[in-house]
Amino acid sequence: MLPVNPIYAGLAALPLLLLLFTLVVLRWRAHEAASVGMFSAAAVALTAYGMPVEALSVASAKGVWDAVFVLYVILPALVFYHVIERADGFEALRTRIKSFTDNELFLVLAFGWVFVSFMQSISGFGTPIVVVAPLLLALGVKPVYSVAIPLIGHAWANTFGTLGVAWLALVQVTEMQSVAVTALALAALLWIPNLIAGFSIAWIYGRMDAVRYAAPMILIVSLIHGGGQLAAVTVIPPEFANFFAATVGLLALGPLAMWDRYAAATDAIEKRLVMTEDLSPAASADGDGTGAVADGGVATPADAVGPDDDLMSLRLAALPFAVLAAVAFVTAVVTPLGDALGSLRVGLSFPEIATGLGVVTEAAAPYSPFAPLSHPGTFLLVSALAAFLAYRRGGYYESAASRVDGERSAFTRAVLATAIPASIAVISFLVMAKLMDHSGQVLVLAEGTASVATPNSYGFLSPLIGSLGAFMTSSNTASNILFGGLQQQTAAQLGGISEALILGGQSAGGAIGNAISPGNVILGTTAAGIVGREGDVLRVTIPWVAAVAALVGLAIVLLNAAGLLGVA
Amino acid sequence: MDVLDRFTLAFVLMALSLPLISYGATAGLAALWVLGLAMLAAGGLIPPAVRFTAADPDAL
Repeated sequence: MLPVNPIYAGLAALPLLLLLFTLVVLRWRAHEAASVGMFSAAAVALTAYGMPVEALSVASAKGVWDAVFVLYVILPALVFYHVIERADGFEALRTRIKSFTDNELFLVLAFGWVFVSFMQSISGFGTPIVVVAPLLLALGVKPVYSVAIPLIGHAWANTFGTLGVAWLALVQVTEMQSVAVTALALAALLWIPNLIAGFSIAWIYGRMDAVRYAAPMILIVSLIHGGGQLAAVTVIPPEFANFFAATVGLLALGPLAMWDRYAAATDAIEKRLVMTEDLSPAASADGDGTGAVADGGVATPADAVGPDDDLMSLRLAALPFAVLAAVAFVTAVVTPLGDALGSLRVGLSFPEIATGLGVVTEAAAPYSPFAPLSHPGTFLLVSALAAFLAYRRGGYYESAASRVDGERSAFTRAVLATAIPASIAVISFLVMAKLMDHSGQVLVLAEGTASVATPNSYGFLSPLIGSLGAFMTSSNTASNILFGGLQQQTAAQLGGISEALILGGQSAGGAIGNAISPGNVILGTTAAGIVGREGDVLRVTIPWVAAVAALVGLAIVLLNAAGLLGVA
Repeated sequence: MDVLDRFTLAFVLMALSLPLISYGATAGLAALWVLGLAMLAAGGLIPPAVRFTAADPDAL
């Protein structure tokens, strides 16, 4: 029997608190802070939670294995990035897209909210952040914000995105009273982070001037995104609802860009807080742009070339992204193809383990098998290969190299210099999460919260628990697997609170929590070339996650009180 | 050994711990999983050590 009391809950919270302290307060880099979290979780597991050393080793190895799924996005994502960047593909994208409209805020919202949501609707595992962060950099957004903005912008699309992986996991781990009502509750709650994301990005860009200016666009897109998803779950399988809404949202950008209000640059916004001052090499006087180069060797507007006569066309610059979207979409919707690719699975075996406090984890053979051919990492490699062949044939690598002063670092070293620290951090984070899970620390934290709650306060807290799961596992899906059953049981024990709303709160919280999930943050800082500045990104996204999770919690309390969506 | 080399060593140690622990724990070979756990711990200690010992921890 697990001791659910303040002492054990405090000990379980210690690794998380130390991780946040070292990351946010001391500003350690993620690969350094993650070690602190990992070793403190191990110390708590061994001393207070009665975990034998062999069980500790098994749980740790499972964490390393879990990291394989993320690492197989990081490395291909970096290859994908450098293949494009070395042909000046991002510079071409920025230059060509700006020829449609010079309206910076429109472009920031278009990429950091609308396009990233479309990417999330078809391909998760951090790929949208990896793709969009460099695009925002190329538009002239400061590196830290080029990561924070898509993290905020894509969060709402997590549960029903990636063709509903997190939703399907929630359905799998809980026996819902009504799948349809739960889907409806979840879609309603996810509209909140969508709407807030649009306004938050505008606020981050230029405070109230920007919010006022972008409000019509934000309301229209959010109606399509949030309202479209809400309507879609009632008429089509929920796993396609986000793809439907995000695709319509993307298509709406065309007409919006032709609207006089957004068709050209505006002087209605006095402050441009997220942008480098201008896009010339002298622009990065505050250090952000040059920091990216120093940290990761990534091309930014600060080292971008001026003349665009040798740059590739928009169609060619967009080719890798189109190939990525096409491959992800085709393999997701053509079921026989997806099944065939997914049939190659590899995994390792682990024995049953038990702690002195009676937490038992069953043996697994294989544990969480990995299907490399249907993984986004392979899609990224295929897209990178297509881009490499097209750019090489067009001679764009030679022309890009001729525009660079001095020598570039070797391709392999450029990739490894960012991939290795990021990989160490991901492994350490996931080992920490697995140790906390298998030793019972996660269960004590969750049950401790439930033991002091009332139906209303638990309703309010349920999104925060979902967010905690996403923070610990870097995954909405894993958060639902970890906490879905527990949230359902707690709601039933407490009574007086709608099961659909609690499960909705769990998964909406898990979606929101992706904005602070270390895996996603590291993928973003890796792609933006600012490995080591994860704490700066979290300083932007943590308050957002806390505020939006609280708003979703408030909505749950109000909907429950109003008797909507299955009140007990 | 430069900073990238040290981080690469940490990564390799952590990665190699996986098959050792899996096989050692499943087959009941304590020496293997103990070695794997030690390698994982050693790999995990390298990044904080680099922070406090390297002249320039950012020199990647």
